[in-house]
Amino acid sequence: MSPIFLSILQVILVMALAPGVSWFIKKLKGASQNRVGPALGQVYFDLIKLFRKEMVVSETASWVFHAAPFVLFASTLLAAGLVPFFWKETLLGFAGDAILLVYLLALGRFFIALAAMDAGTSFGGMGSSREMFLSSLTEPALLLSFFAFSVHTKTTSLQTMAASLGSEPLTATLFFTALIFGAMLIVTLVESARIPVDNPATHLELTMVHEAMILEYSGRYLALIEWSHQIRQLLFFSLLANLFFPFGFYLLKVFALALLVGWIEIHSAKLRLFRVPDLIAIAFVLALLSLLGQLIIGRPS
Amino acid sequence: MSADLIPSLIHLTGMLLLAAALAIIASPQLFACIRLYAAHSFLLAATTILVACHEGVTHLWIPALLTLLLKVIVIPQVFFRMIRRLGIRREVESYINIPFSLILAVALLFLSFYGTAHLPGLSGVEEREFIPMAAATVFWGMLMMATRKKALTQIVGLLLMENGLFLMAITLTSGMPLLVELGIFFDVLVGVIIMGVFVFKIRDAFEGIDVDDLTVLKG
Repeated sequence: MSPIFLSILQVILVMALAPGVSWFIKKLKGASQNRVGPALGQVYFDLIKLFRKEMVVSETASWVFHAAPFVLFASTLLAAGLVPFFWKETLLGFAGDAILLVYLLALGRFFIALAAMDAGTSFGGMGSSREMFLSSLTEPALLLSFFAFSVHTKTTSLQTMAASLGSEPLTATLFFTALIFGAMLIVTLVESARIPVDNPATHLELTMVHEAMILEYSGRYLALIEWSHQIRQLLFFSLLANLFFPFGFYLLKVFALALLVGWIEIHSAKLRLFRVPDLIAIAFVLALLSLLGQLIIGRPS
Repeated sequence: MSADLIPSLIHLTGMLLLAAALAIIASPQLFACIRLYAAHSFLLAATTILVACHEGVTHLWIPALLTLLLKVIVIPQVFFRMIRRLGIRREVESYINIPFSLILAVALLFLSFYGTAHLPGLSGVEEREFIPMAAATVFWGMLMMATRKKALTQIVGLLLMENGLFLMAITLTSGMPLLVELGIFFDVLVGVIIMGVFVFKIRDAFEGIDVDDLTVLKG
């Protein structure tokens, strides 16, 4: 098979797999609470149901409200084109790197935040303000983690980064990757709206961040938003899997990471919103430490 | 493989030592703070053992085991006991908030990194790596002592400083004479006990262990 065909197939399969990973975490949580949890088909049926449903749109909504789901979905797919999943080549790897990835995700988030305020409810504005508050802190941490890799691999391209880390023995890079793993795990928790930061399962006005923004959406648009959110979550799992464990079977790695994230979700309580910056500060400091550690340890005598 | 494995493990424990020390600074609860101090000491013992294996210095095993016994088990227990007797729950109060103290800590790490860049007489790889780390740990201990309000967290800061000095001694000299090491350990233990007594005295005199209250002693 030609590389281009494989990389297109990769993006399509990721779109198909993303709800499955969400299902796995839901099932884990169900098992921990003595529930059966949803069946595998349920996440897909939910999406299909939402795609068929009628939409209710706020009277005050402008074009931003209608454009935002499409911008979010498109930018998430573009971002998925930059990340190596199970095939080492990426679809858009020739055109962009880790920095573009971060800002494609930021673009989608920006539009959703605008749309939430556009609909004219107070919850939307609150959600947007919270999301922007958190993302302004996570973005530097994520970028710094990528830069810590870049110092070692001398590239910002994700596919070259993953390939070059894969070609080295694990013990040679362990001292700094261990710290970046911690940083990126925290970033993953924030970005995929998991429990220490945000609760994906409730609509409780005091605690919700992501849910508050998409409260006004229904039908097709909601399906697009939910789906791109699932893709973004899988995208972060794949980044973790491919950058830190350059061996083994892809699906196994992703589900192992989902297990880890689910385990964290089961065993921790949601943080108060104003405690979340402390968590993100830890991610930031870990990434910075790993960057500095490379300077210290690789220092020529 | 084995020749390659030990240096990389030393690197890893070194980085984890830094991370654990930062976690001590960042932790909002006293219990967590002390457990993290135990973890930091455990990593210190691990580093010592790894250095002992790497350099083939067998007498380093004794300080490593003493670290394990004293700093991982005894001193945290003394602390927990103090906390129980003082009847306090969460007592980490700081003059500056946690993110800012983390930023200060990283700035101090940079300072120690560039400050020790041109020290003469350092040859081995480990020495060059661990000098900035150990110096940073000492600085962080000082930071904790300077910015915390409560006496107990200030003691943790002092112990963190001592751990930094120990790290420097281990990696720089492959271990001091055994008698000196034993003396230091004894010092630390007695220091902690004396400070514990001191904390109780502060509590009795001021009905709290906020060292701010000590300023009223001025004439």
